[in-house]
Amino acid sequence: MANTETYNYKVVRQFALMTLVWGVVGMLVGVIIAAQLCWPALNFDVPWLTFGRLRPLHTNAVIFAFGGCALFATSYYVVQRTCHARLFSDGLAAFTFWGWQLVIVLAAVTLPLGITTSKEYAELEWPIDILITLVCVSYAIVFFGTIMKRRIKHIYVANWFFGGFIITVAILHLVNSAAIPVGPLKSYSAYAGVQDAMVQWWYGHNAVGFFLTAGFLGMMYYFIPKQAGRPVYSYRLSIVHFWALVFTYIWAGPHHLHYTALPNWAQSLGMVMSIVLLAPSWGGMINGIMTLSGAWHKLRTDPVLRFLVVSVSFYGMSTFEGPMMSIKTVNALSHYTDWTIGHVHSGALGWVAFVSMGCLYYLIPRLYGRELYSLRLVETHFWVSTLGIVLYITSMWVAGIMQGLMWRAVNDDGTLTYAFIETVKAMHPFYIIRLLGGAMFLVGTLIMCYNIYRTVANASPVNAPVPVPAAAH
Amino acid sequence: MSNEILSTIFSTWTVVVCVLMAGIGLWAWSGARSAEFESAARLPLEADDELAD
Repeated sequence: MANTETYNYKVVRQFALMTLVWGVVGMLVGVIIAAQLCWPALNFDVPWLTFGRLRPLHTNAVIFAFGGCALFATSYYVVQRTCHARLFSDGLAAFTFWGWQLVIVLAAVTLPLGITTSKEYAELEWPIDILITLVCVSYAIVFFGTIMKRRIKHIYVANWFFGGFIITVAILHLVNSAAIPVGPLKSYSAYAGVQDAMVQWWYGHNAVGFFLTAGFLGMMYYFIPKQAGRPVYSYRLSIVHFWALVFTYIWAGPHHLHYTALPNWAQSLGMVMSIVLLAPSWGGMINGIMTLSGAWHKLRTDPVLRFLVVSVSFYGMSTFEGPMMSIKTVNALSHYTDWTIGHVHSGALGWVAFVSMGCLYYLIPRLYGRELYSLRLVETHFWVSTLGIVLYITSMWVAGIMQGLMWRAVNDDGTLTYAFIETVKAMHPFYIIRLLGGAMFLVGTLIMCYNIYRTVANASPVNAPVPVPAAAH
Repeated sequence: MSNEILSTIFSTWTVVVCVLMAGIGLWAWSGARSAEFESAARLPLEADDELAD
C-alpha cells in the first residue's frame, strides 16, 4: 500500500533560506566593526553604530541567527529522514521558526539600542530570554517527539548529537539567564561576583561546545556520509565520540577565567579537562575525514564535499589550538589578545560556517527538487572564502602574539617597554588584513546566495514521501 | 558538609564516571553489536530525494 504521508520540508526550507539571510547580515556587521577597528571614525559618532553595541549584534547574528537557523534546518531534516517519520507537530515546528525569527529581530533592535545584560553571548534581556526558553522547549518537543514516533529502531548517531545539543543548550540558557527583573528591559543576574563569572563561562564555553560543536557534529555525521556516498568510517568511534565529548566539554569553562579571582583549583581543573577534550575532538575529526576512505577522488570534482571535509579539518585545527591556549602558561600570553579572536574565527568560519554551507548546498536542491544552479560558483565560493579565512586567522595569530609580547615586555628597571597605544598602533596593518579576510568571506557568502537564489527561483518546493515501513533494523 | 565527605563524594563520582566511560567503550566495541552498527551506519545512505535538472 502506498504511503501518502510526506516529510515536513516546509520548516526545513524556511530555516535553510533564513540561514543565508542572517548569515549575510551577521557577516556584514562583522565586516563593519572590523573596519571600525581600523578607522574608528566609521562609527560616525552615532551611539547605535559604536563598536560596543554592534559587536554583540555581530556575535548574536552569526551564532544564534545564522548558526541557529542552520541547526534547526538540518536537525529537522536529519531526524525525519533517519527516523522515517514526519515531524512530531507541524504547528510547534512552525512556532519554533517564527519564534526564533522574532528572537533574532528583537536582538537586532535591542542590542544597538544598548539594551543588554552585558553577559557575553547571553546579552538579551529577560523578556527575550523567556521567548528563547519557549522556543527551546518547543524545539525539544518536536525533535524528541519525532524520535519517539520513529519507524526505525536504531537512533542514528547524528540525532544523538542534535539531541545532546538541544537539551544542554536549554539547560545552559535557563541557568545562566537566571535574573531579577527591575523593569521591562532591565534585569540583574541572580549570581554575584566570581560565581557570576563562573556560571557565565560555564555557559559561554558550553555554548561553543554544544551549540557550535555538538549540533554541527550532528550535521557532519549525516551529510558527509551522504555526500561522499559512504557510511561513516567507524560507527563505534562515533558513539564513544559522543559520550566522551559530552562528559568532557561541560568541565572546560574555567579556562576562560585563568588568572582571575576564580580559585586556582577550578582554573587548573578547567585547563586539565580542556586538554582531555583534545581526545574526543580529534576522534570525531578523524572519523569525519576518514569517512572519505576510498572516495578521496571525489574531492577533485565535488566542491560541496570539499566544503564539508575542509570544515572538519578546521574543526581539528581549532580543537588542537583551544586546548593549547587553555594551558595556563600559554594563556598568560594569549588571553585578552587577538590570538583568541583568530582562534574563534578559525572555528566559526572554517568549521561552523563551512559545514553549514556544505549542508545547505546539499539540502536546498533536495528541498526544491532540482540541481544546484552552478557548481562553478560553489567552487569560486569555496576558494574566495578559504582565502578569506586564511587571511583572517593568520593576521590575528601574528597580531595577537605580537600584542601579548608587547604587553609583557619590561625594561631593566621594571617599567613597561610599550605604552598601550603603541600596541594599538602596531595592530593597525593586521586589522586591515583581517578586514580584507572578513570581506572576502562575506563576498563568498554573497556568491552562495546568488547561486541558491538561481537554484530556487521558479522551482516548486517538494515534500518527499515518508517510506513505507518495511525495513526493520 | 565537611570537606572530607565532599572530597569522598567527588572522588567516588570521578571513579564512577571513568568506569562508565570505559563501559561505553567496551559496549561499543563488543563483537555482538557489529551487525547492528554496520546497518546503522548505512542509515543515511538509504533512498535519496529525487533531483531534476
